[in-house]
Amino acid sequence: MSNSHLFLKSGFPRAPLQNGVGRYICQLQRITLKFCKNNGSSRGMREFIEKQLIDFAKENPGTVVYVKPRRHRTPVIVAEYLNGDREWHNCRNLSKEEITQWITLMKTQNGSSSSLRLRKMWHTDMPSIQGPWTPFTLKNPASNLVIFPNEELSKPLDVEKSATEKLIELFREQRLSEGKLEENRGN
Amino acid sequence: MSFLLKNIVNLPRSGSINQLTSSFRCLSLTSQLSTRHNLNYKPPKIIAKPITPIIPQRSPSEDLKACDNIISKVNNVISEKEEGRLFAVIHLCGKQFKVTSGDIILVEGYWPPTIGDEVRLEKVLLVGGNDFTLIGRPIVDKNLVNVQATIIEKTLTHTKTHFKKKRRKQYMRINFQRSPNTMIRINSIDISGQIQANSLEKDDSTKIY
Amino acid sequence: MSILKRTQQWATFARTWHIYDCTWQNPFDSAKVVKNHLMGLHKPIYHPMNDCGDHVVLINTGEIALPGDEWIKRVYFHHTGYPGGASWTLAWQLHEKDPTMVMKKAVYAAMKGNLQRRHTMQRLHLFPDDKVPEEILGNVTSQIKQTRVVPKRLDHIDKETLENFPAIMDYPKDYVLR
Repeated sequence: MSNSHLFLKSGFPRAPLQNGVGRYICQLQRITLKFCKNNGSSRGMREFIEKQLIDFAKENPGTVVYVKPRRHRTPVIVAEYLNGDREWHNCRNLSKEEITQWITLMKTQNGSSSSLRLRKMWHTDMPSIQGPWTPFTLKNPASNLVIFPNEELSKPLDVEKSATEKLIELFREQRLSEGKLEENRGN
Repeated sequence: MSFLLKNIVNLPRSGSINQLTSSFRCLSLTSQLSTRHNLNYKPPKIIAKPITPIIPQRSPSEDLKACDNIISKVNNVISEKEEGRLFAVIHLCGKQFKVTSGDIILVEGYWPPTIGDEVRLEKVLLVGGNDFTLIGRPIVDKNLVNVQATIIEKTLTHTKTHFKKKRRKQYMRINFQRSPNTMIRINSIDISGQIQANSLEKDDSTKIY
Repeated sequence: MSILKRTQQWATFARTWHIYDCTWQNPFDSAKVVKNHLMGLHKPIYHPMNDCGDHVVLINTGEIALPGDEWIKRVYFHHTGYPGGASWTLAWQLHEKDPTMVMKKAVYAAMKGNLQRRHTMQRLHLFPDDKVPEEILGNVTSQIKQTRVVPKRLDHIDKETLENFPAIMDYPKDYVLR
């Protein structure tokens, strides 16, 4: 069982330098691919460099790509961001597709975010526009003059009609209709 | 804090306010507290008849008139660009967010848009300004409100550990998981066009809810 | 914190005092409503970690109405902690001893048993009748609606209404009214 999460930092979502307010700027500045020219563990990395690296560099003119061969060591990706973060990722025995996935992830994130637990999924500088709630918002001003305890305010809102009330209503209707009948007869 | 309290306590003593409202009475926290502050203080006698709040009864025609009045007022504010900062409640990926321009929201899980994409959030449940609120039934007309947003980050969460163990049953599993997260910046919320009283009667067969 | 913000904070978290009339109410249904106000669950700012509960004044707790035969079937258990210290009290016996106790225990039981419960109960003020001290009544600014209508007793209905009430049937002429 890993206990690493016990010491995990927690924080709130933030974006560096008002990114995205005017326009979006890719935060990845430099990516370094380190690999071995003949070791088997670098096979995927070599394939990636042969087939996709030039396309990647063309698509991302804002990012500097370094390729660094070194003998008999595991392949590694190092990404460096505008805010000074440096993310290091081991690519031992990874296939070309897996490496593509990791590189896209490094391209799309704002810094190394792996070690931050988010406490909220929302950030705002303007928490309230119509004013924060208080117990007196949307209260009828007439309620200031009520003397408590008040019988009228105490009654529940959804009261079904009782049998007695229904009976009285029926009786009134009956009397009305009778009265009309008599009027008609009189005419 | 205490000086504010004193102010509140002193208010009823001054003769300018003849009726101490209940809200002010409430703000004086507890009566014991106020008596502790100045022992000579006696609560003022409130002379008021028991009143129950009355909701004014309006006829349907008067109702329509009042409704038109309000709508024209709101339209006036919008046409003169005096609405100020707007906020909206948007429905995005099964969750609702209360946003205003400049906000950051996060979508959890897989979501196709990539960084730098500018999207328009169309499921707007509510738009509000400083002194008016438009409530959708269930969503506000999409020609009326324009909520623009930019995707600024797509990343993975921290590593979550899923550990299961059953005691005395030789059962133990551990899984590690990182799920995708998308960060979105809200760029602008605009109300374009006029609010119509009879917009409800429009043909909404093209809408997808 | 600036003065304006401090006042805002103060206004938002101001404790409201509510009053609830227990006459002819089921204490266990009422407790659910009262609990919401005591814990501040009725507020949009509610969060389990903020302290936004209100005060509730319960009046006429002596007039509560237990459902069915609960007065004789409901038993309150107490144990002193010593051997043989268990005691069982029927609801009607408890009500005779202290007319606020049934209502108090109902509210207490309606809340989750956590560390906060005893502090939340401090904000509950119970009175067996409608005699509430002025200093408490002066704070009250709202009334909680009852859970059911208070039934009207036949001898409390005025004579005129009784006489004008429509008869469902006519008695036969030889019927003897006792």
